[in-house]
Amino acid sequence: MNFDLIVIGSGPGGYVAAVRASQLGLKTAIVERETDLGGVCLNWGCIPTKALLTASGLLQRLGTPGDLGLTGEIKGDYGAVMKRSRQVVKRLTMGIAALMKAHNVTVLHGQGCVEGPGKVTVTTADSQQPFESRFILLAAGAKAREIPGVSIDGDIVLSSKEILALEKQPESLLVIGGGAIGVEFADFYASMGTKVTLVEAKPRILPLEDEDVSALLSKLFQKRGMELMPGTTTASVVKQKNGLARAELVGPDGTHASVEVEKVLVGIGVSPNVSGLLAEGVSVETGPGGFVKVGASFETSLPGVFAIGDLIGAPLLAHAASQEARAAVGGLAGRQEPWPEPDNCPGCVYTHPEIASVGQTEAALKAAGTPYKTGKVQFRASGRAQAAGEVEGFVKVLVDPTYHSLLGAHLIGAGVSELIAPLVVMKTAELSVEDMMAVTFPHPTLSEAVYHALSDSVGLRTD
Amino acid sequence: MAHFAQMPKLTDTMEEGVIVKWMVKVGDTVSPGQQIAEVETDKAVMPMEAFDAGTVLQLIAQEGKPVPLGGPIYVLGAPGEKLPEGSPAPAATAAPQPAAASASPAQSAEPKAEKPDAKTEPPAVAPGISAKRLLVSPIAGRMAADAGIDLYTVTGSGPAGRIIKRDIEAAIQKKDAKAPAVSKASTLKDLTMMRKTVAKRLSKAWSEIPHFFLEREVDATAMRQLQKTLKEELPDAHISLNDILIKCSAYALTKVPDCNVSWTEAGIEQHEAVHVSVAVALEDGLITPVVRNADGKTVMAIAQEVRALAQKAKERRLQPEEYSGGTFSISNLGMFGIDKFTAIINPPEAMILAVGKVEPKPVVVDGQVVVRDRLCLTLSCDHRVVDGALGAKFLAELTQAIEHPLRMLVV
Repeated sequence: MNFDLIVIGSGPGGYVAAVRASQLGLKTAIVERETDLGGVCLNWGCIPTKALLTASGLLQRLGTPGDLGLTGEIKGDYGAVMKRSRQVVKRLTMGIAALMKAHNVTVLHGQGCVEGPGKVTVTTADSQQPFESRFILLAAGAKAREIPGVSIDGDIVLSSKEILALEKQPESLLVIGGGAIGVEFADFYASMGTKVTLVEAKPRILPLEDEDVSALLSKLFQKRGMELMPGTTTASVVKQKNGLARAELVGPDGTHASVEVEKVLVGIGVSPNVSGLLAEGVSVETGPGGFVKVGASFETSLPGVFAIGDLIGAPLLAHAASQEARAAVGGLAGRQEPWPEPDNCPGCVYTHPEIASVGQTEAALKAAGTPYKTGKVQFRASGRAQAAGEVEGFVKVLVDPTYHSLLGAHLIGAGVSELIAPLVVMKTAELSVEDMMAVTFPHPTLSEAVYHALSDSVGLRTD
Repeated sequence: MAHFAQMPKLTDTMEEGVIVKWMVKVGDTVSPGQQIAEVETDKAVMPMEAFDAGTVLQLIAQEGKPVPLGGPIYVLGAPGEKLPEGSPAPAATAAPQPAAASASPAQSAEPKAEKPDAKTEPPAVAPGISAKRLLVSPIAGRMAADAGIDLYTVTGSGPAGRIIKRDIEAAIQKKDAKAPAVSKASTLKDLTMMRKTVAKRLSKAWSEIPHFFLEREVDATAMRQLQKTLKEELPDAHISLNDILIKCSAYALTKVPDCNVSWTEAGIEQHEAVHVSVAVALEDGLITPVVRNADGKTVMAIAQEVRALAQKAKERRLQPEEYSGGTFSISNLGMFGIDKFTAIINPPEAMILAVGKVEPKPVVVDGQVVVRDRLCLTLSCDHRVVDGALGAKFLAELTQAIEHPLRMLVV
């Protein structure tokens, strides 16, 4: 027995699992096939995009500096902005490597493959090593899902991974997919001056977020000159002789449209990285979308083999993977760990303005026939927002009428990704609106809007 | 030396008690004779006194949970003294309510180097005594209270075993899932102490005592007239027909003392005094407060006493001496429209009189059909000590007293 636990994948699910296992005294190894640790989140997802969006956000904010009584002209240098994001990534991947070393986690480079319960081979270009372990944790993540007829060639059709390596800023960009990934890239490129067209198959962009939130972001995007095409699918993308891409789009009523763009970004979703993970003849039970099926303790259909993160499906978020990692590892180590409740997992979109939410949308509550009360506060009414000159957006809370517990919260505005935290605490710790009203929020802050929205939901708003 | 105080035997028939309310808390000093709790027994709610002096170190018994006779209920000792061997983990508070929500979600930080072995289990506890510390979210606590779920029966799936909403939802589902096993039309109600006692005593009486029944319809016209007169002359006395019947029964017993007895293995116990037990119906059962020496009391005194005792009975405040020691029982269902019925003897008594309603009926008097107020009496007798003829003799005297009340003044 080489190890107590082998973790395959070093993203926010994998590396947290490895650290936790080490804390619990398990001899642990982590397998990673990419050069750098950290998975998609660190290298091709969360981190680099936030670095880019910081720059583009400031560019937008200071586009009209006179508003704040400042003078000067701020310009964006695409190459430099991209370069900085890679530097941030590099710093952090080194940090993960250091973390593994500090916790005595053996790092194995190569493709990890499960040969059977307790058996993993790690394959590189010139070697193949077998290992034995008491437990195996699969945290291999997911990759960009493709659209039939639109294959990602890395040339004119890109996924988020390729576009983050794009050295030259495109003049025009078609973003296919109006989810979190699509809107974030649309925001970034539009701020930098690219002509952006955003298509989404569902009737509105950000179809999983609250309707009011989608509506406001759409309005603001359109004001900035982005072309939004909801209810539209992409039939095909072909490279033309002039080197540009031609995309054939199908509108909501079946009408056809054609656009010519420099680059196309596909961001319609992800599919789990199961291929290469299991040896021939070895299989685990999967569900819709090909995601790995797990029981309450995150164990797969293969005994002693566990799976977490994007590999097992929604919520397809880094912090969800990390919580699942802690619960899964604690569980297999014999501890009683509370398993994470997906409804308590927040989701954030780092556009400008930002979006953050936790729990159920109004539409979902209505569909389920669940009664609720609403509390809503516009940032326009906030002293802090007015002082900061960032007045677009609102805080909306949905509250259970019997116990005044939080059913859902939906925020859009500057910095709301931070503001969602007290609401996630409220929901996870199962506090009532009255419990929260006893909390003193500082003034003048945007977080006060959370307080006022909650008090609004029970008719006790005082501002 | 710190020691356990045990559940005392407060009535002769009690087997377990329930602390209704603690009157002291941990840290209080108590002296002998001081009331420290209210205890519900099989008969009534009674005060419990401390037997020794000392400081209350721990309250073990939970309010509302039964403790068997002799079971530990609290710990007395010197302040700061170590708890005696076998104490449950000190966590039970003075008045833990199932709805008490701990609003502290965070558990103390885990030690740095953890072993991935033994899950910590709460210490094994005796039934009815809880030593598990409750972590509950505020919402879950309220849901549990509304659904009547005992938090001590719920396993928490939150951090450090905290009980959260989904645990209560699961408990409710489990509870609902169990119910359909019983037919739709019936539900299960918990047995109250009183119900348990009534069930036990009457089952025993019915199975052990050889009952026989004597019926007699009496003329209640004179009694009715008496009651009407008394109502006019003493309106505040509120004398009922039953009060008059109690007086008549007591009188009849002095005339036929052989009926004022009790069966014992050692012999027939002859009672010198006449104490009449009066059945009082309560929401969850019945109890029989006693009018002592009823033969020597006026009807008005009897009326006052019965009213006071009935009120006390309804408030569950009857003391043992107030509901024991009877030598004869009377039970009246006339106000509920009952014509006649048979009652079960109240041991260790030998007889019980069941009274129906007074009703005008046609009867033959001196060859003529006239309308008279009639009343049906049914006397249940313990055949071990009262034979038919003796029982009939008693009923004859009783009938005389009822039909000619003035005789009680003279004979």
